[in-house]
Amino acid sequence: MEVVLSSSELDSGVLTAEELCRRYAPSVCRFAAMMTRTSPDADDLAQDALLRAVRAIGSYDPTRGTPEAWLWRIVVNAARDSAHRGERARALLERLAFNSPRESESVETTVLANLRDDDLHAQLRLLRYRDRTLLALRYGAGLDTAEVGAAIGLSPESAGTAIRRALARLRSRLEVRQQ
Amino acid sequence: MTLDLLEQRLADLTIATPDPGRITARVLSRSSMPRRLRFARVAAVVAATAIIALGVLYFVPAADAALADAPIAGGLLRDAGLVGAGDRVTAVGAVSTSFGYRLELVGAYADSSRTVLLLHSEPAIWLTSFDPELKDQFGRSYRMGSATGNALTGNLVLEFEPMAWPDAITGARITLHITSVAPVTCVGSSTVNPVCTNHRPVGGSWTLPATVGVDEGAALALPAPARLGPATYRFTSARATAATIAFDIEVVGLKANDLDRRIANGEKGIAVFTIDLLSPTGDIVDGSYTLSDNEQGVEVHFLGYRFTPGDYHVHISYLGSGELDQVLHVP
Repeated sequence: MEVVLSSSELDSGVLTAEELCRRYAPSVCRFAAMMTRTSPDADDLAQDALLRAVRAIGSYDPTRGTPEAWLWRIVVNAARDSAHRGERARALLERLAFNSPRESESVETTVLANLRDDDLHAQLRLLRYRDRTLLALRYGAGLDTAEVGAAIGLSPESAGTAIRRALARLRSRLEVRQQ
Repeated sequence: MTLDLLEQRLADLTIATPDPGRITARVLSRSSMPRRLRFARVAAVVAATAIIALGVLYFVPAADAALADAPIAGGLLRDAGLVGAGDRVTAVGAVSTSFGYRLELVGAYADSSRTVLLLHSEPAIWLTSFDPELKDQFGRSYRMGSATGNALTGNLVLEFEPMAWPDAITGARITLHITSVAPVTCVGSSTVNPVCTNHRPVGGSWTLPATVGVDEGAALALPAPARLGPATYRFTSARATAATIAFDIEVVGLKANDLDRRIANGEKGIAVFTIDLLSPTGDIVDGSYTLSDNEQGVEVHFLGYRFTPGDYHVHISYLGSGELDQVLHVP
């Protein structure tokens, strides 16, 4: 199962399933970790997203865009489906009167520079799905604004604006939390 | 472009991420197991079918699949959304014990949308740390879509992708294999908010075989395409089984992000797009849907749990554009 790539960034002209995983698994895993609430959820999302991409590798058409844009659209769709499944599973778990214990939250930090990574991550995960996706693509997966836009169907300018708004909402959340 | 402090913190955020090597190994090991039959393998499957026709009973297990003569506990059926299909759930009763944990595959149900396994564990376990493997008689693996558990009763419901052809005709001889479980204990009861704790995973080997018939259900008449605001909604498939209604709608003129949008209201926000399935009595049917962008627009896949025949209404609303009501007649 191979696909010829047009991207000059790829030193090889052909992308196999193994090559796709080798190149993109680290950034997909980091994206998944920023998007989800638990480590098992992150595992599931990363695996599901990469498996979808590997299974669809034959359908990639270089004339329709870069492999990165193609891959991240698949990843974003997987994340969206995962979010819907998660909502349904959580609803059922609540009905079954069972949920995993919540971790206690620290209130010791008051300024951003001293904010613990755990707390920043916790606040990030409380953002709405769209904002989380934007920030996880931009800062978790390390995409630039044009690539973020291609992944979620926005122009580079609109993606940049959306990311700034998401950052502003995260800032507000952090400020409220510090009060 | 320089990053401000918050952006830099996000870019440098130290978080526990899945191990790319482990994820890669799992993806590559599963990528050769197609979710759907691939055209290139038709010849191989035809050959297998010919062998079946020659009488290899092992591969034609439908005759062995016994529907549940003894009733399966209502709680399990309710947890699985199978109350309306109790008589289509196969009673299994397979038991496997390892390292003091007894798992029973109580029942199994398969239709064109999903494969559902009903388990009971003693003592109670949770699923966060194991990756159940489900295979059919052809050695094909099926991916688990969701899992829910009741730590108070030890009941578990695992939902997998639907059985591939020709299992729908022959029935499926399936095997669930589990290699690790996470014990869970609770303090309290179902009436007093219980506090449940996951414990360290326990390794072992639990193998639970079953023979299950596949309820293919019936195709439903598709409503005509309709326009709502900026988009056209076109049903591309609709099927009903004894337990479920599944339908797909192609939305042309919008993207998935448009449908996922919420209008801020200081709380959770108001969903711009809603889709509900209403039963013949007017109640909202429990269900879920997924959205995927494609070349034309958005694919909406809805799976609802039905209990009675009659006219089911698909109610779609898009904020600022109005509402749409389409009818699916379920015999």
